[in-house]
Amino acid sequence: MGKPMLIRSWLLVSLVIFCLSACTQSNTLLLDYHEFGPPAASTDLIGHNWWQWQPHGHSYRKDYPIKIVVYDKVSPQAVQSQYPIEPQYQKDYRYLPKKQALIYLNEKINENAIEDLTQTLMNTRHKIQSHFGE
Amino acid sequence: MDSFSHHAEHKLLDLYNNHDHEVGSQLKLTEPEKYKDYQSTDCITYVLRAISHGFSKTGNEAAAKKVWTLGRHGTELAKYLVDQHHWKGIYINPDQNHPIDEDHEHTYTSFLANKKCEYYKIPLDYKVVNYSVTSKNHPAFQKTTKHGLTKLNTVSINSLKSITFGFGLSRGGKHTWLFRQGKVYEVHWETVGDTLYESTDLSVFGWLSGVIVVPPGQSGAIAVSAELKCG
Repeated sequence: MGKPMLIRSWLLVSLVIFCLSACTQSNTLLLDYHEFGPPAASTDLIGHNWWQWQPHGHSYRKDYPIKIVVYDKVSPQAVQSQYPIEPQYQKDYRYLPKKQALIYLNEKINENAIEDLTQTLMNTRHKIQSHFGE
Repeated sequence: MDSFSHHAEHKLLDLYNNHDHEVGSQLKLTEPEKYKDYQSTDCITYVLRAISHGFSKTGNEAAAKKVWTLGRHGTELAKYLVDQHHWKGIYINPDQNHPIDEDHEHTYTSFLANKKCEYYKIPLDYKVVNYSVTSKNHPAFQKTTKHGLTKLNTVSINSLKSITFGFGLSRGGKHTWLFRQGKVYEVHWETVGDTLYESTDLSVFGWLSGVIVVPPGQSGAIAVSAELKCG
């Protein structure tokens, strides 16, 4: 294999890696935990609001910067490799298919338990729909 | 008196008063060499030690062991105690309408407690609420004025002073603690010495809404007005 051929192969591989990464990013949306409402509403969907590698949270009130990765038209494996959970760096992601997110949001919006909360959830639904082009 | 509550309360107080040999689990992780001879503890460990001691001293070794397998999440432990040992669930919330931290968590748990008699799927029999209401000039009140000033209710919380042992959790198990005679007993996992354990009157406990589950014999003195009915 000549040098030009090697360079072409390298460029091709780089392009594929770049495309895969870009595709994963456009098929995912990072949101904050609280955008899905209080834990009393969202725990069943996205888990507890403390580090998933600990049995409970801090005894003094503390917020944990947990991110929710909403994804569509991409495999869960690709999402997990793009956003790995890394306790040593305090990176805690929860992976959520777009369809499941919308079912939950529609249900809680219809429930309309608390006016302010319903507005928060409507904003989150709007963000998801806009991002995924619905 | 030789009941579960008697033994569990004894352990609660023993650990609270004698913990020179203990260190918070997170502090031990950050300074393992310094605290190598100390026993690690944290909020759920305190709870498990007291409850398993109560079961063990009343001859239920199976339950004493079982509770340690449920320490991963406080909600699972509370459900087990209610479902398998007939403990009673008491929903707590100092002000159902105006949480002083303006967090929807408290108004939403109140909504679920009243609608479904549940707190994070833990069955509830009582609710003790509105015992420390947010004043009209507080910013948290100003944000949600449509409910008006919440009517103060001190009868229900006062009736909890006769409870000698309970297990409590806040924010779905983010924090767990023990309860005795109107006070919360808790452990802070990043400290040692005098600040490792703390007791606070429930009426001023900063975690606001939550649940206390109590052994069946403890619920008799709870105010009738605190009974919760759903459906």
